[in-house]
Amino acid sequence: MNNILLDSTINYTKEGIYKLILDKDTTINIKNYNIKIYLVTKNNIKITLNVLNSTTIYNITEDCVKVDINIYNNAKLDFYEMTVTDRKITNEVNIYHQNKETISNITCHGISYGNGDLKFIINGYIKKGMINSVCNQSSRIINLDKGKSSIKPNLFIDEFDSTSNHSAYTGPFDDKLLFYLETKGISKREAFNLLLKGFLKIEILPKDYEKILDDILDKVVRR
Amino acid sequence: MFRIDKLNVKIKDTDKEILKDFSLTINNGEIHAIMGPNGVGKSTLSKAIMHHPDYVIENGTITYNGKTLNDLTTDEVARSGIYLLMQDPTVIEGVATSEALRTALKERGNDVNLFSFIRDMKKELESLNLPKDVMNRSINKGLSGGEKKKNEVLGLTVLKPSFIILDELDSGLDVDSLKIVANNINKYLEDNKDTSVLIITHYSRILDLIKPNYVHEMYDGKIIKTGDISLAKEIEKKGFTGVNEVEMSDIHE
Repeated sequence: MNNILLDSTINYTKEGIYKLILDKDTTINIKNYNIKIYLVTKNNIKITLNVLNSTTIYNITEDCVKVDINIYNNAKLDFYEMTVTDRKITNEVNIYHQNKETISNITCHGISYGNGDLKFIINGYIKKGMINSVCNQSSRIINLDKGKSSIKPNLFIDEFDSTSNHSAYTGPFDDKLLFYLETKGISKREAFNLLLKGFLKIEILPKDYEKILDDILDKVVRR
Repeated sequence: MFRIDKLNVKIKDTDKEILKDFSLTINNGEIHAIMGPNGVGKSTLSKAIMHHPDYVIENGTITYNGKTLNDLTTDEVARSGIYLLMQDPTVIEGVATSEALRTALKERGNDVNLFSFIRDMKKELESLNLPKDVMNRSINKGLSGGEKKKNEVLGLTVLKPSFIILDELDSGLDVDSLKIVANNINKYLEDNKDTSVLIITHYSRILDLIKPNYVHEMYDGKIIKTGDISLAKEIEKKGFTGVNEVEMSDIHE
């Protein structure tokens, strides 16, 4: 992982895969195609993403984070947030469709364990005139131990000719998932670990990035 | 030998009794079929054997090869050699079929070499006429009803159980898929002669493909008739006993 601590604005003009650990407020401008960004955010920061070309962005965090996303130029953004916490934190994501025919798919998965209190606030904005824009949100939080959580999915849509969807779930793992794995001879503990990792690793991740998530999940598994 | 002796099972936190003094003995290598109309407790039986959390064993015992299963956990029952092929296999997002099966093998103390595991999986997928990427996909995600059943048969061939419960195997399967699945199960039984099978079904068509030694008719939580394949044919022709009685009384009225 690259540690970026210098400039508060980063411009991506070349295609490629970028991995960053961010611990201060940062603006990221995506100015080319075929860019994938793997973020780890720390220290309750604010990230601004200006998406001028289609891209996929991942973020792992154990802290509060506010992400403002502006989508331009018919771009499509796939954004994945993976949060694990045993503290009271809020993850806020604001998606602004700044041009017509822009697409956002926002997926936020979280684990609230111990005495955790995790809040997702996901706001999607489609202004009038942003025709054929698509704003999708899917948020899920699994509560373990005494962990609490809440999700506030908001869609602020002022354009009839657009599409928006949201889904949200907070609660424990469904018993039938554990039962299924146990019927294969997998112990409850191992079945639980499989579900935990499967839940957070929404997509196939690069090995070094996955390792960061594994290290965080180990804290949950060993608790 | 698999044996159920006077088993009484209730739905958890209710007084609703589903299985009532249910008894059944299946010797090694035997295939038994249980037939019955909806709601008589057929699927409850399979779930009770696997200790599904929604059901409680009130009385009676389940033993397998001399070991009492009553106090075991679901995974311990499975590791004793029992495999449930579910009526409606669960979809688990984020957990790959290969990952789950490899974990299941590890839990059995069989930490297979990754290369041979993948090679064997690919071979089984081919014989089941399933796409090779199924093993890397989330469990049963995006699969049709028939493909899900095939995926469950894949689990069976990898985990090599000695007692198989087929709960409504034919539901959701078209004729061709049913034949493929049945052929794979028959091949498994040929290679593993001591393996016993409990088939739970409404229809006799599956019994034309996987031939049972015994057929039992179930009604109101227990077995009311036992015979050979001719009992299944009789049921297919005349209907289930309890249902017939109702129909007959309706006619008399």
